[in-house]
Amino acid sequence: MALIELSHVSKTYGKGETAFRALRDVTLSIDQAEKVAIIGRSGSGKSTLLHILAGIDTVTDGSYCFMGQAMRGISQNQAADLRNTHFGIVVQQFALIKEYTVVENVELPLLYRGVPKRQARKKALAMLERVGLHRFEKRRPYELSGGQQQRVGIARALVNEPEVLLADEPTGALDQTTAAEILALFDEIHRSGLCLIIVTHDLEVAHSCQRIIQIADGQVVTP
Amino acid sequence: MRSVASVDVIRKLRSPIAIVCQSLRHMGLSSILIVVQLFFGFLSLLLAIGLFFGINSFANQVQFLMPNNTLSINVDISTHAMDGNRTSYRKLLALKQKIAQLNDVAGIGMYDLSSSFGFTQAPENEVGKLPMSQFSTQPIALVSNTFVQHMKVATQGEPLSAITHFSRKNSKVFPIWVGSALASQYPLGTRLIAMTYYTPPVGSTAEATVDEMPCQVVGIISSDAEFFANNGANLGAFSLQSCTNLILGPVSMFMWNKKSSEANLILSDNMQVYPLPGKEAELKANIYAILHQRKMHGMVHSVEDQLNALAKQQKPSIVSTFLVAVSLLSLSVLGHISVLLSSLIKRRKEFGIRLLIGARKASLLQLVMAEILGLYVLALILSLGIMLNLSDWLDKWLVVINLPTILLAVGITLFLSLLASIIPLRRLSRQTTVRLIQGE
Repeated sequence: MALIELSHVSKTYGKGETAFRALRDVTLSIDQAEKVAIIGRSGSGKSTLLHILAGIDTVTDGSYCFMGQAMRGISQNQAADLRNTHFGIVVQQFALIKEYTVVENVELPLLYRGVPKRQARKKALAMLERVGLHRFEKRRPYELSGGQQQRVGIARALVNEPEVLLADEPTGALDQTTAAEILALFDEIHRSGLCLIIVTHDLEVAHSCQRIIQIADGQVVTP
Repeated sequence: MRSVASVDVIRKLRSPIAIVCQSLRHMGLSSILIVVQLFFGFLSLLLAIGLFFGINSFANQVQFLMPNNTLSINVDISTHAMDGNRTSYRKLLALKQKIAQLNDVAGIGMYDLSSSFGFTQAPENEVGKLPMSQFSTQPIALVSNTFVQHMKVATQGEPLSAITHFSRKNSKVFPIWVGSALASQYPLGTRLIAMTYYTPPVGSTAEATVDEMPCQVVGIISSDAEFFANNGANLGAFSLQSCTNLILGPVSMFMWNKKSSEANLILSDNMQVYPLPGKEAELKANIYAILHQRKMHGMVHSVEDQLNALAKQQKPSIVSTFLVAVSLLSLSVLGHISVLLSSLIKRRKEFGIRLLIGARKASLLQLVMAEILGLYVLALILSLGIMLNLSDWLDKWLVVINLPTILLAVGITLFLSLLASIIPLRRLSRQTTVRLIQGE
């Protein structure tokens, strides 16, 4: 059984004349421990697809199954729980809470999960060590470089030991060297058995993946 | 799917201080603005409520006052030169030294009841029926500064003869000669009318012009008519019924318990009046005749006049204070809404991040709510700290800062604060997850 299965998924924003179809009849499946790149131009629908995969957005038509469970019709709370436990999400602009220290950012998903504070702190520190930031735990995000901030984002995404890591343009805000470091980190994460889905328009990043799914005008061109 | 406890970070915060810190951290300047608004809103409301209650309680409690040296009552009232138990009196003086160290004590009155008309002079038929313990206790009256201030405000600074009595419902409350305590605030020889639960025997005298009590008691009005009526004694006590529309101030009393040699602070409670059956009309007529006579000479103001003058004098203060409070509260509510709205708009990205990592919308609302409450508590502590420190000073202006006043002000401001938070929170909850994540 595939980890992720999308069948004839469509997503339309708005109604009537102003309606915009971001995704059209998308069908695809992604297995466990797969490393997949979703590529496409700006506005092609790849971020929408990522949102749907993460349970942030819902499908208008078609079906989406995650680990065999239908995602259509689940409540917002269920979707939130799903994101918390099964998905790690990394975004281009790092999405760190600037008022929190590095370690506080990383432990936040654990706290939302109900993990006791002390245990959460311990796990967060271990995760920071894994991404090579164990000496930066007390710093604020703005005191770090872009690459370091992205590592914090990755540590936060992984801290709940998710099944899937969704990365939306993870190297988009980084220079080449740092981007290469982040990709190397992704490789390492993938080797640990995690399913990795990277949304990118960078072909170099895409070619580092096992499979490339190309999206154009909301449709999958290369399933 | 693994089960996820729907807990929020606020559950993980260990103390209200942490919540306040979190609010300050996340809301920055907005949080300070909210605290300032709540602070002034609460302060003004507390002031207004305190003044309202203060004046009302004053008007209700202050029951009897008259200008100095104007009234002596000779009907059924006797005087008795106090030549009582000096040993007991010295003990009381020693106690007075201790009492004088207490805050808010303006004057102390004392009377050795057992050696004066209460015990030795009491008719045989009374002695046997009254509990002995009552007669072996030395009563002391303390007059608080508050009381004196109230009296001075009410009489527009004139010296006065003021007598009070205390409820006998509490069996431990003995006749307290508050008048003599109050008299210590006035020039030597100030003449007082005393009220007591005891009816002095006919023919006795009640001058309290001992060293430490520079007052002269020229009259006694007893309210213990019920007891004496029930026991067949009719000593012609004035019924307090005839004075119920008069004024009595809030007085702190101190009573020395001879058995334990410990002091107990007793506050005056509600007035309880026991009219002497068959005597009300006559005594009332006598009192009113005298009052009327004095009023004719312009020497005595009726208490109704006093109350009316007080109410008239204070009405603009109450109205203006409430107007200021309402204005500040309205501004506070509007400000609260706008500041919170702008703060939530600024924090959209943060909320989006929280949703991205698995927070539920409800937990975001809880978080914001907890932060607002944290700020509310901070504003409350600041304003209460100031108000309680100023309470002595405010008391002179009849503003009462006590538990009911505080609770009422807290209740109203908390309600308004939560009400003002509904609009911004509703707007937040209506945002889609995608829009919040995108920071829109």
